[in-house]
Amino acid sequence: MNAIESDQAVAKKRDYLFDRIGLYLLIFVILVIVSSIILVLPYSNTYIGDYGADEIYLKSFVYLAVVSTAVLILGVFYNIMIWMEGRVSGADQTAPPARKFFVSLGKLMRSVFSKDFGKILRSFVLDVIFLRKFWSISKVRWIVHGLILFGFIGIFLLDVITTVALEFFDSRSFTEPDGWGKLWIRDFGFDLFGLMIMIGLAGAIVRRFVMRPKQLVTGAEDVVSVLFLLVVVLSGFVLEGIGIASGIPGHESHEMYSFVGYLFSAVSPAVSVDAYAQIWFLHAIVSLALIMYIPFSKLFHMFAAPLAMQLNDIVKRGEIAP
Amino acid sequence: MKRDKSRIDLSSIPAKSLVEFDACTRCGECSIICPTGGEAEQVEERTPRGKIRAVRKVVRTLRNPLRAALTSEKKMERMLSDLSESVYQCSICGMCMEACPLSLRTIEMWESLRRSLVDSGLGPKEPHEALVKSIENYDNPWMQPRMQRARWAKKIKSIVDATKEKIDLLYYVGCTASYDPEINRVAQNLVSIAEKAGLRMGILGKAEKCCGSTLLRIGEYERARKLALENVDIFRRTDADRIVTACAGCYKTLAQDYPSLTGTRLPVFHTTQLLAELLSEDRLPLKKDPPGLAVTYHDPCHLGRHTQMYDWPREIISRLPGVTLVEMERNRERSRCCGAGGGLMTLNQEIVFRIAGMRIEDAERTGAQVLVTSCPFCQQTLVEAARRRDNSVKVIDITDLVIELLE
Ligand code: SF4
Ligand code: SF4
Repeated sequence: MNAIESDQAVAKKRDYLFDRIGLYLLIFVILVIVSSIILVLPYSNTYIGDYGADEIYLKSFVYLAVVSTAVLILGVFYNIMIWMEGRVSGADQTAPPARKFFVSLGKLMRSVFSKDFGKILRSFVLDVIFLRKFWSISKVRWIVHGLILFGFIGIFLLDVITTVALEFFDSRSFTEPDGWGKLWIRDFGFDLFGLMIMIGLAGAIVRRFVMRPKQLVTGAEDVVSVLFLLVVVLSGFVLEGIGIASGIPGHESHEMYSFVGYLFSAVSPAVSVDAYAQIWFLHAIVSLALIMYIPFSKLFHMFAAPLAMQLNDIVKRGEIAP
Repeated sequence: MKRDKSRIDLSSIPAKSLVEFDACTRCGECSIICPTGGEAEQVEERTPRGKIRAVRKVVRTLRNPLRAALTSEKKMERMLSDLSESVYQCSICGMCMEACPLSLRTIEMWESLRRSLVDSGLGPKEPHEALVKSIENYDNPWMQPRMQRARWAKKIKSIVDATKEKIDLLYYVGCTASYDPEINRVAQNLVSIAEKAGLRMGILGKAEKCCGSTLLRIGEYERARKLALENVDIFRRTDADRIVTACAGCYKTLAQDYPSLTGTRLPVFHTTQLLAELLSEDRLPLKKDPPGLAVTYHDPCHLGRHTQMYDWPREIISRLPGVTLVEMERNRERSRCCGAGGGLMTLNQEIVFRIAGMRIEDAERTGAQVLVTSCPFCQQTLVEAARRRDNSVKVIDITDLVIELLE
């Protein structure tokens, strides 16, 4: 009996060791893939890069981007490992987090890719994307939040589209001054979504700092989060304005399309190519810092809230969570 | 076993709840409506949002080697004891879940957090200890002898011992209705109703034990599990295919917690379900032309937000002759808690009666003279709160109302 038990204990230990190695391997693979993508891209879609001195900024940016996405990924895993200290049905409660992680991952995959896929997709659209309960609570706040959320999603998607069009298809339309992609996506699209974020942030700031409703309390992290977002978006527009005012290639003035950047350009000084590259670098650093800040702040809700809502859709109310 | 008071064991919190702690957006929708930290006290640390923040902070400090190294043992202990203090100043009413735009399942978050505090030697609070001891020694939280449990039924001939005789229905009386002389009436009402409906009802007598609700709410999971297993064992000794209870807390525990505690799903019903069924089948002889009566109904949290039984009591009231229901402004999902649940009555009566007082005010505003509820514990609390406001409304159980209108 004892021999059997100790055999089992040894087997368990071995399994747990495999889980841990598996987890580290998984994180490593993700890091390598993401870093490679960042390092391999030629960045022909950035507004700097072809002008000698700019090279150093672009290179530094690329390496810092690798670091900041690594921090983001590790930060997310750090949080996941805390979740995995909790109870996971189907896993021994004394099991290490790595084991619980793989058990949960398997369960999650099985419930998503099950016959309930349609139902899950529907609740994803209604609860997670559309945030229907929030809509029923306050339309105005929903719009303010939606402007920020959809603004960022929009910018992210346009970034992907631009990158794919430029790097994989070498699309001229994105580089020629009168190209469709250049005018509608790089000029208009980015400005539109950026403006959405700015309006949303302005709404959030007015509500939090001017209207100060009773339900809000403002701690350091609330201030930092909102200011961080604001600085990123604002510095983006300032950069665009300076780019237009300075006639930086790629920023040829298309006031109809870069409508926000054009407004900023009206009050922007014209600077040298070098100075422009430095400002570009500053904007890039703030953006990368924001990425690193996400997993350690309340902004992490952008990952945890959709997941929580989705899990709650899977576990019926009144049933104790698996 | 002596526990290290500067550590916290998260293994009894579902991983899903830990995700939910991170999902909070700090919107504060929950905080303004929380009866304890929000409405009654207005202390941020005791609101759901404040507690979520504290949990995140504590866990992030303990699990971050750098931060942990920079935080003194003493500070860590203080953070944990502050957290424990706030987490227990809550009636587990579930209002925060209802208010939350993300519908975070806060009930589960709070209960499992308390369980983890108990596991880590940080809970329950000192005043709860007498409660735990009483349940352990007497199988009830009221420190009453086991032998007295079925005293209320002594003179009632129609009630039988469910472990010995054939019955249609097993009545799980629960501790409050068994021992509180004021609430005994609820048990007696149910017996009369069953009699009129021709149902043979049995009880477990002194073999019945506390359902374990109080233990579960304060985080004493293992103790509750032991009780639950014993109860299920006793239930099995009867041939009842239906268990009915008149207590919202017992109902929630037997219906919702027992399956995960014991692996057994019991055929349990609340009296409101039974009464609604008997009335809809015309099995109760109702008075023909009683004088009109306006009543308002208080949804107990355990029967409302916890188990979503909003319709049965309303159906009963709508079927009673001459009775009109005037809803309070906050009803059903948004019903205000009486304040007594979650072990708060033992911990902080002052705040409980402040909250219960607000509920009585809600009832007063409807103009109804009678406040009906379906939980003996809510009734106990609201009766006292009404007494403190010169008995502005009469608080009764739903079985009282039905009995009143039977022929
Ligand atoms: S369960 Fe009720 S008392 Fe507890 S935090 Fe939520 S709203 Fe407040
Ligand atoms: S309502 Fe929900 S998201 Fe908002 S502060 Fe409360 S728990 Fe957090």
